[in-house]
Amino acid sequence: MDILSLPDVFIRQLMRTIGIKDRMRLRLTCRTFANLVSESHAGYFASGHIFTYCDNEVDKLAIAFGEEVFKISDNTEDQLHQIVHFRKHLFRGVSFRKFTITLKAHVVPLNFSFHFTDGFKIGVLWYHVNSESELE
Amino acid sequence: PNVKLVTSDNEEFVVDFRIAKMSVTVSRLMEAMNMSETDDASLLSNSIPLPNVTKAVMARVIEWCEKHKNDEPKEEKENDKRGRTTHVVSDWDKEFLKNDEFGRLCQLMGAANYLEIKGLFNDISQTIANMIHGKKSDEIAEMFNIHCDLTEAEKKEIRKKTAWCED
Repeated sequence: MDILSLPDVFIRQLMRTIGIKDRMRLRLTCRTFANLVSESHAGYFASGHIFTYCDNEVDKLAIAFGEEVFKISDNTEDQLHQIVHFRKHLFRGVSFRKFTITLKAHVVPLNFSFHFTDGFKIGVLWYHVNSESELE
Repeated sequence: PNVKLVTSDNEEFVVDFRIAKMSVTVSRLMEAMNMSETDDASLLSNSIPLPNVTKAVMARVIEWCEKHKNDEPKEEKENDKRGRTTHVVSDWDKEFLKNDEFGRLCQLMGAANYLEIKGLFNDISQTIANMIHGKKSDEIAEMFNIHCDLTEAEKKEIRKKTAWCED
């Protein structure tokens, strides 16, 4: 049986069940799945987090969807732009009960988190600021 | 009290009223046919036709329902209606589904969808998601009989763009 011949209701349910990393691998299986992944809802996650962490004394960026964590090795502007662009190919929508943003402004520009979370449905947003200037 | 269910291949299954009520579809049909738990005559004189379910699949559905008939009903949250629930497949359910190859899982999922048995539908969906989990794209394609129509250049481009989120 070909998975793509399944009724739409099954495929949609499946797309809401599989993880974000698995969605990316599905994109590589065929054109239909590549489109399906970008057009379908990624489902509901209890929590999400964009944060910076220290790796060998270097501040880096990480993004968590539930328990799946993406550690970004390169924080260059070009790379961040690519991440925002590629995110749009991973799902049409996503929901979080709680989403936390804990960024160091000198590591990742604050507008990255706004662009990245554009269109997210978030129940409770926690935004940690490190200085008054960030608050502004 | 018992309820008679008749499959597409004319097999009659006699099941406990509680099991019949686990299917929203059957429940609605019983209501439409004025069949009630307290009215034995209505249950004896009627049977519920299920033209979209075969005998083999029905037997599996009933086996699942037998195991889950005493489960507490799960309250659906607003968010669950739109998307993912953290659905945990119990050990018994894993064992129940582990020998089903993909085609049979789909038949069972089709029956769960038609009969509106949400727990079974979610179990199967999560089982298929678990089959996909952590596999490479070519392994997924082989498992689900997907013909890849992406060119090597396109794949390379996608891999390049997704490299940031691979372990």
